[in-house]
Amino acid sequence: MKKHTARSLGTALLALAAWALSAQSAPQAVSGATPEAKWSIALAGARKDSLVESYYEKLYNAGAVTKTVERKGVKATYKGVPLSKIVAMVDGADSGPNYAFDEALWKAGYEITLVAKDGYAKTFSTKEVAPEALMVAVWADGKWIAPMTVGDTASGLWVKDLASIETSLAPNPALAAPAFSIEIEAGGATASFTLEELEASDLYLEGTGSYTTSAGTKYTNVYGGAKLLGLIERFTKLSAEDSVTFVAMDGYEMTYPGSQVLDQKDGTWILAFEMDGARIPKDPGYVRTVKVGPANPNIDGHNSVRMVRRLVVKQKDFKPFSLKLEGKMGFELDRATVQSCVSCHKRTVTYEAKGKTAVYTGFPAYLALGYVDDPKYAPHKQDKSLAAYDEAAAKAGYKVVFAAADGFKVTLDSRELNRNEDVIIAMYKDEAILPEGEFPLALAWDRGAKLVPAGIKGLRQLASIRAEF
Amino acid sequence: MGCRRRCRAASFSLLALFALRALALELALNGARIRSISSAELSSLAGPVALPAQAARGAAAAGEASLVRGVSLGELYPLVAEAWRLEAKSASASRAWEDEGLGERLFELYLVEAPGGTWELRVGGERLGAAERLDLAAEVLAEDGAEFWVSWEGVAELKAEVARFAKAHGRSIKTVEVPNTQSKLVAVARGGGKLPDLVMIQSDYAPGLARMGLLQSVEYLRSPDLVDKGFEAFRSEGRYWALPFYFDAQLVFYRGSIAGPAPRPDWSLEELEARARALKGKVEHPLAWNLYSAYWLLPFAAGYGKAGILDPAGGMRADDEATARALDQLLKLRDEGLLEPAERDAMISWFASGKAAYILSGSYSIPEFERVGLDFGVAPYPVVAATGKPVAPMLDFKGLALSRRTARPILARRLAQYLTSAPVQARFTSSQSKLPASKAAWELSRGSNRYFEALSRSYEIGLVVPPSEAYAAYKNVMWKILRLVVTGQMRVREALATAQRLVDENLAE
Repeated sequence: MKKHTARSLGTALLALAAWALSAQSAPQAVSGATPEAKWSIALAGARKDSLVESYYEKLYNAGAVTKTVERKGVKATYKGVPLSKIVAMVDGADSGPNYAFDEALWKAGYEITLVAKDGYAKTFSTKEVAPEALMVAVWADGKWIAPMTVGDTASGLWVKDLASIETSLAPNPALAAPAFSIEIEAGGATASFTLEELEASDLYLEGTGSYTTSAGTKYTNVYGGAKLLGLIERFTKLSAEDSVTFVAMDGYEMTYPGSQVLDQKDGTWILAFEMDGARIPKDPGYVRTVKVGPANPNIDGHNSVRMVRRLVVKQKDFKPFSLKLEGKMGFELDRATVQSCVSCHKRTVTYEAKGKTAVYTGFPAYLALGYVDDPKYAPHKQDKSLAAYDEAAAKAGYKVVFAAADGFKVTLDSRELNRNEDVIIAMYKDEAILPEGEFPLALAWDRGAKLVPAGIKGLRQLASIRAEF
Repeated sequence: MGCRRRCRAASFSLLALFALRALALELALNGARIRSISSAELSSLAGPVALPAQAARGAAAAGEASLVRGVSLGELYPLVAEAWRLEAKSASASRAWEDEGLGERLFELYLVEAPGGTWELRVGGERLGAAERLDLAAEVLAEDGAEFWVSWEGVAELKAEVARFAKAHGRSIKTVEVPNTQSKLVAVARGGGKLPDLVMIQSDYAPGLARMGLLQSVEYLRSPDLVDKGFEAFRSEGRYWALPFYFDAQLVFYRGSIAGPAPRPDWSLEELEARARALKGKVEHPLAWNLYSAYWLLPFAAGYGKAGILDPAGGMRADDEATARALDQLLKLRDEGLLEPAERDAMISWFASGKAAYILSGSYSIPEFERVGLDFGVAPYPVVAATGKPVAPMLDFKGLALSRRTARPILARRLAQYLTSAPVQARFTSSQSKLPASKAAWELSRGSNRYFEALSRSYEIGLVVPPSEAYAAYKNVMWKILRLVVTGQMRVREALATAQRLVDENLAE
């Protein structure tokens, strides 16, 4: 936009022009006063700009208009520039200094919001107001006024001390949904999809689904998202023996066996990014896994993976396993639960055996004792206000027997396991699932552990843990 | 004889007619009579009104107000876009007020009931007795067809108030209950859908909605009758984004039959601890509250010296010494077997069944406990004797925000002014045991609300839930971290340092 820089000259010209107009149109004197302060009006439309005094003067000199209206029971005469001349600056991508007003677009209809300096804002549809009806005036009865809209409309559109003119033609970056893509690695290919792409694709599905938390609360909502199996099958054929690992934005990982994804008896697994008609926020979204369908399928809460960023399909490497826990209560944790435990309480140790070192990742072994040290309470099975782990019992001392699939056993003292973060139940070795011979789980400890429990030995193929009181 | 009787009767009728005419009030708009209202009709419209002391003849002391019955001009006149002159006449006098902003004050100007069935006009500190005619110079508002999104407690009562306003002024106003007004506003705006004209928000919604250009700032609506802390609750980027409507305050709730006599309003935390100690062994949980939530921890941090919720730069500090000291003290109470950490449902259930003697909850619990007939009392938060500072309750404000994209900003504003006017606030908040944002409404409830003293003290010492995205990030992080501290998986200072790191990372995203 061409800008005049000599304000005093501009103001003088404007005063002169106003005087000339006034002399032609009405027998009233121009006060000759100058505006108290420099002003500008922010404009938002197809492009952003601002109307400054100097450009206003140019518009004014090229075609000022006069309107007499009644306000507070008194007639007043205003002079200024038609609003359409100012809207022309932002109603298209054309550059100045001579902006073309898009009258057809105005008549087709968009919204204009007039905002005053004190915050008052009024919106109207251009369809309901003639382009020439309003002006931005700086003169009222021959005196300078702060810019205001006024004209042949309801007085609600007369906005004093105008600060900005915003149109619905303006993109609002603050309103834009966060750019988010989900990545998929399958069949030897890697790809990413934005949520918009998924929503526009034939994979998009809406339906009702539920999940129930471990404390027993059931949540039911209408979800919208991409069909999980359909998405995977764009890259590879999924079989029951394959695995699908979901990696969350906060590092949490969860693996579904292929059979679980293929099981569509009661509903369809989707990567949901809408809930009850609105995008799911970052946590628990932007994407979470749920199952939907006419029968309102209900899944376990830990199977509804939140904040999914990436999914990796591995063929025929998913081996289910379970870890048996015995004591005051008994549990059999499946692979998903163990993996969930690793995700939430991840601990990595450098383990040394027979002169060789490796990095093992799992969760502190003492956390497993929470499942067996109390006849009533276990992790995630009651109100969160109740501690799942009985530290007092651990401090009092009991035997903990770790047993491998081949019957090999290691017995440790709970007092030496209590809060010992360096002794872990490992699921990964050097960032991969434990190799054959050690799979599924191993007992490992850090070579720099502050406290190495008496009698501890490396134990592979861990199958059960028994607490003896 | 018969003539005398008839003449007497005729004279009496004439006098009565004259008296009735004299008692009627004529309302005029721009010089033209629009209606005549009898004293009886005005009386039926009137409700309790608290007028400021300076306006009340013989008010006992500064700060007190006179309680009268009255009706606002905003309720009597048609809705106006603007008004600039009010002329009032009685049989013996006339007065006129000229004010460009008169249209914004009509809900604060009252006709109050006076002896002899007359009505006195109150305009700020000025008055005109036995008013007979009012003439308002104004432009009638043309806007109609507004939409108002409401949420939280009391939706039915709020809808009734809106219906009353709409009926009185012949407008169509749609009131829609929306569970989460923030997320719906964003979703509808993104989708290019129809936005409401007026919407209820809570303080931490304000920064995000303002940044997205969905609200208009309301500096021009600031009224001295609405409490300052209420405006602060909706202040972001140097502007105010909502008119405070009502608020809830945190309180100590105690079971009367278990906890003993009511504590004094200036009691100390040490006294609360001593009372709990005396109950050990007699009740399962002498104290119980949600120790996992920063919302319930921050008041104690303030008691131990935390200067404010936000730091001067607008960020949140989790690892300050006051928070650590507060947490240490609460964990000591837990270790001593006095305080049982519990989330809301468990805590309420223990309190109701008599397993917990003292709990911390919001004023929103009062109607719930009254409904089930529980013997309970409330006390303001105590003072920490060691620091002399009060455990400062959080004040959770709800406000009325105007959409930036409304085509009916004045109708929305008039509705907001009506809802925040003292009589409506007093009616609505007393039905919900909320605290009104209107100072005059406070005065109205002074005599009728038996929790008034505890609630006023809570307002006085309370901290406003800050309108800040940093607070939201802090609250989420602390929710996870405090659990680790309470269950003994992390030590206090290590946990608070971790929390600080996570808050900073969240805010840096």
